[in-house]
Amino acid sequence: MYSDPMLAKELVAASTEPLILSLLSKGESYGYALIQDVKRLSGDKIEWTDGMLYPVLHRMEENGWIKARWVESETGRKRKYYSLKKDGEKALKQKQEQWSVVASVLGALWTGGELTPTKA
Amino acid sequence: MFNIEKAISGWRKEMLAAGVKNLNALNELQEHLLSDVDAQMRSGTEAETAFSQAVQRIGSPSEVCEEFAKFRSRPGAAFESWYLVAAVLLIIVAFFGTSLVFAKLRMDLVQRIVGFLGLVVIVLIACTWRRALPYLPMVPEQRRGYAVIFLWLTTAALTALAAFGVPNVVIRLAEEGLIGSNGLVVALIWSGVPMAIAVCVFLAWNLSPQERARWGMRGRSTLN
Repeated sequence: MYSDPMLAKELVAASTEPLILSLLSKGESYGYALIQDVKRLSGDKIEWTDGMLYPVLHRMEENGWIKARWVESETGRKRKYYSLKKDGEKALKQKQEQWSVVASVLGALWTGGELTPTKA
Repeated sequence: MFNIEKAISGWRKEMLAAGVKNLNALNELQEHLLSDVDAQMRSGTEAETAFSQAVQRIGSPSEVCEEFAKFRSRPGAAFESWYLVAAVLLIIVAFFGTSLVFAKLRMDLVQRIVGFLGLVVIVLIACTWRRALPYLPMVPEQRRGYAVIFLWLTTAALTALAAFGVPNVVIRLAEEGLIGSNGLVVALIWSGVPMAIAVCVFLAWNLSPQERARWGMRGRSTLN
């Protein structure tokens, strides 16, 4: 995945799946909306190259984390909507735990406070 | 005058030429493109500019194709469905071969039932061993796969030995004068095929997509 200079490309790539899973945990969505949501929520600091999102979505679908269905949109065109599956919820939980560990360690180090023990 | 239909058609041709041949993926990308164009036009951008920017944002055909190709080129993608076909065929052959051997050995009904139960147990173990994974917390994560496979193979082998009584069968085959002619082939079918079935079923049914990826057996590609 491509990122703008605001966020390192590796970090954007690593966060792609957790972001997609998190967004889909709020309800079904489609590629364009996911990109817009991420852009808006990150204050334009995370910007995916649009076409690169779809191979990731397809891989996640193949992994059994998400499922897709074609629905006629308000424009009359068919649009592919994605939603979370049970395995996706599990994957999200796992990723939440992992990212929480990273966030809490960095947070503790940067604020100078003591490290809080976290469950892996 | 800019014609969006023509522009889309040209863009699709470029994508196809670059290698994005899956129509589902292409339709999805097209819908994305049009959503972007719509959004830009709603905020006052002209159609031609909106289209050009949307195409740019979606990425060049070669880049998009390259991303899909990464996914497509995972090993095992092309022949995964053959595992299932092979497993079904082997199950049929195994049950047929087993019946043949039982008939040649003139086994009584109870012996036959025990024999078939052994075969069924092997297939069931092969189909369900993954369910045991969550109950194996004592196995370190990185070695869990190997440990489970080792346990599974051991259990399957012991089940085969116990249920079929392989040594006993070999003796019976020798007594019947079957070994040495076509008996060896029958014996091979009888003893080898259930294990082969177990391996095939294990490969085809037990692994989640993530595990398949781990074992180099990524599922069907979204392309082609």
